[in-house]
Amino acid sequence: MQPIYLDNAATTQVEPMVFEAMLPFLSDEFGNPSSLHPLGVQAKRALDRARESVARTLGAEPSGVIFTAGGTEANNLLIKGVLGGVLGGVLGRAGQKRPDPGKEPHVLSSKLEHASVLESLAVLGQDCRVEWVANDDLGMIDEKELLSRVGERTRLVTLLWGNNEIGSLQPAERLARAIKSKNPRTVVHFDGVQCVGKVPVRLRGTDIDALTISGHKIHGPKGVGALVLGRRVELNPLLSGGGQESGRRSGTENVAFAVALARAVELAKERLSEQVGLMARLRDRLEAGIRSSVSGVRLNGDPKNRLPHILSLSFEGVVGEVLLHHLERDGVYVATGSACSERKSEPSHVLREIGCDDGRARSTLRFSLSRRTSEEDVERALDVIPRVVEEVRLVVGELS
Amino acid sequence: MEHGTGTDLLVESDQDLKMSRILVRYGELALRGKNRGEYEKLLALNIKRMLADFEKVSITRMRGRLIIHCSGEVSEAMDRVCDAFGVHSVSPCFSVPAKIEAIRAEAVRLMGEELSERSSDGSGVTFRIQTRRAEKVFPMNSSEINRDVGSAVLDVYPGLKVKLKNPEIMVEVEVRTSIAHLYTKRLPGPLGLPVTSAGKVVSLLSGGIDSPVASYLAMKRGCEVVLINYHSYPFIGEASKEKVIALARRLVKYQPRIRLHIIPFAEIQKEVKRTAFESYRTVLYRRAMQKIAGRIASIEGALALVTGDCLGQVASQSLENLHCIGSATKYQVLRPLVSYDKTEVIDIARRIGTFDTSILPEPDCCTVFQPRRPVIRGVVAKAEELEANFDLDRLIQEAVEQREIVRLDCQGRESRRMADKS
Repeated sequence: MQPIYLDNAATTQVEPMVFEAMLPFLSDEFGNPSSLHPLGVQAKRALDRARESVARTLGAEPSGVIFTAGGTEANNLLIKGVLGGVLGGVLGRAGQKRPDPGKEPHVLSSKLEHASVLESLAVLGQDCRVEWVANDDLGMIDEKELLSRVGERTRLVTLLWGNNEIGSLQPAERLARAIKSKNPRTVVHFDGVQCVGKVPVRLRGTDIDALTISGHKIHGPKGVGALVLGRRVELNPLLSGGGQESGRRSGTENVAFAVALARAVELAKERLSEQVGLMARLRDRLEAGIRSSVSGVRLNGDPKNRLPHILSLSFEGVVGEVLLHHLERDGVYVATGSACSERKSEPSHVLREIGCDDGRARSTLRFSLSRRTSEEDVERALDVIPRVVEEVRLVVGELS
Repeated sequence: MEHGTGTDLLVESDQDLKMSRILVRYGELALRGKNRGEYEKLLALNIKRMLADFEKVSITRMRGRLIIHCSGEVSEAMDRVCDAFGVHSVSPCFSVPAKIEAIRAEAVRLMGEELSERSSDGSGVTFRIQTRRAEKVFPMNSSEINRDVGSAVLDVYPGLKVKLKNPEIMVEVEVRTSIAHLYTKRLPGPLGLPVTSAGKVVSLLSGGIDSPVASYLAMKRGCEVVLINYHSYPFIGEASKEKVIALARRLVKYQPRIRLHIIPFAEIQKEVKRTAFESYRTVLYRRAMQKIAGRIASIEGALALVTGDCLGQVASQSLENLHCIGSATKYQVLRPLVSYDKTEVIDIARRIGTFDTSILPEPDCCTVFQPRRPVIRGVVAKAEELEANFDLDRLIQEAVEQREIVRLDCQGRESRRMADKS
């Protein structure tokens, strides 16, 4: 029997239409967009059309779309690119003067961010003043505190729009508007990797300046994403080279994957209204089914403001990883924390930040759906989950 | 392969002279009496397997050495031979017709290479020529050749200084009937005895740092190592199994063919947890592991078990516990690391290339139902009494029947299958 895949926040299966869209560029239409002959021109045209499509779908200008190798690179490019612009280049600036104390650029972010943001800010820590905005135990940013900290020198606010571990969904547009009203020059960035196809995502008509998206979370291939800019943002490139992507991301463009990303974004948007209600309904069914048949289950994240596809539950008295392998044995594939942090021995930083103790953090599983998840999948998972939790609790006994 | 004749291979054609040659000196096995031939054959066989992807490999025995002829990347071949247990040292070897003019020219060329590696014109660099004649038919004797070739080298590199004791560069010349071999470099081998020469052992491989090193050291003393791993699915995942296979893949460099038996272990751990008191769990797990390893030893025809135990490394690695665990099997338990410090083990693990895999954070079966306070002085009678509370024999039988067998070789081939039930 096919396993029931409930780990779509880690990655998704490539949609056949996306796969087909990219195939020509892995065979006959193999040109380099920079070449001047017809093969190159064809490739350039495909790349331009992909760029236009992403821009149209997300409400941006084509010139604002920078294709990257994924969400991590897009976050790195935005953060280091924006702050590097202030500092005169993040890398290789030995001998240059540090900004005077008190005059460093000011950055606001939160402790709930993806590792690519946390680590990028850690690298820049010496040269900017990073402040972490508090969040509540549901994973929501403290809006008042955020706004009270936006000031004259605030160069960048970077936040996770929808949390990949617990699903909490920030009111991105409202936050952006409020930030801009305090300082119109602040760059407002949201990591929307989990949001595309799950909630309406648009830059035009909002005050969001920059958005990170990723292909493989929305039924596209791994290894492609984009930084989408809503207005002109001065960016120092991370990579030195041939000046592709208007000098902001050197390296021969990945035409096939850019085409795939565009198709994946289009499909995500086309199907948003019809699918999202269904996804949320299935997620609710899964949650209710588990909570009605298993004792000692607690929800992590905000029950109201949340993504429709992520469900994070703690199962009292069991180790998440042990439960995960027992579920996998019976054909249900889920995650413990986030896929990127699963192999760390430390429990998830997100769960810690929303006040889970180590025991609760370690007993957490994340179920994540996609538009390919069916009602039957959820019902079958519900046949397995309560039985397996009981089995594990019985074996593990008093030791948790 | 040509070996066992004990005579020099007569090499006359230019074609043969163009082949790369590697001279292999044996270590300890050169001291062996009657069995020496067997050891040499095994060493040659192991080397042949390590070089299976090279074209036209042939190995010749020559007066207590092996000469490998091969075409292809000689430095890659040398690297591999340097990992063959039983090898004392290895030299890239250059062969010319046994004529004094040819020997002189080759010696000058080799000296040129040595000096260019040192970015030197020879000023102040010490050297000597050391000649051996196998057959005494050459018209000059060894010291005459030394002087002749030495002065030819000095003519080209007048800055060099002759030094008989510990020179910086030694050009060695071996004159055979029709051919002369010259070499300047000696790379150290790993010493030990050729793998498989000592017989077969079953080595308990966890995902940790110690057990791959223990397996390596058993190979070093000539053991053919069969690996066994205990996998507690679904308490730990497939990734832990992949890690253990990755470790076996590192070891295949030293033993060209390896079998790894992966034993499902969760049912035994569940029964131990259900029936025995907590502090004895670890001891009982390990006794069960020894019993299973004994079963595999009898299936494989092995004569001993190997573990990575180190006396006192953790509190539960006490002499009492080693006794309590070891007494679960009738097989000898070899513990190559018994006296090593952890840092010494880590040094070896780094050198043999297992360390980086060992430290990947995958759980192993020992983490399942780990007791908070394991017993420090396990008692055999107590362990046996606890084992009588459940059907250990049946569980062991089932675990052995349900094992998976992974076969690996040094050419990167790998196959997995479930054991045949019989």
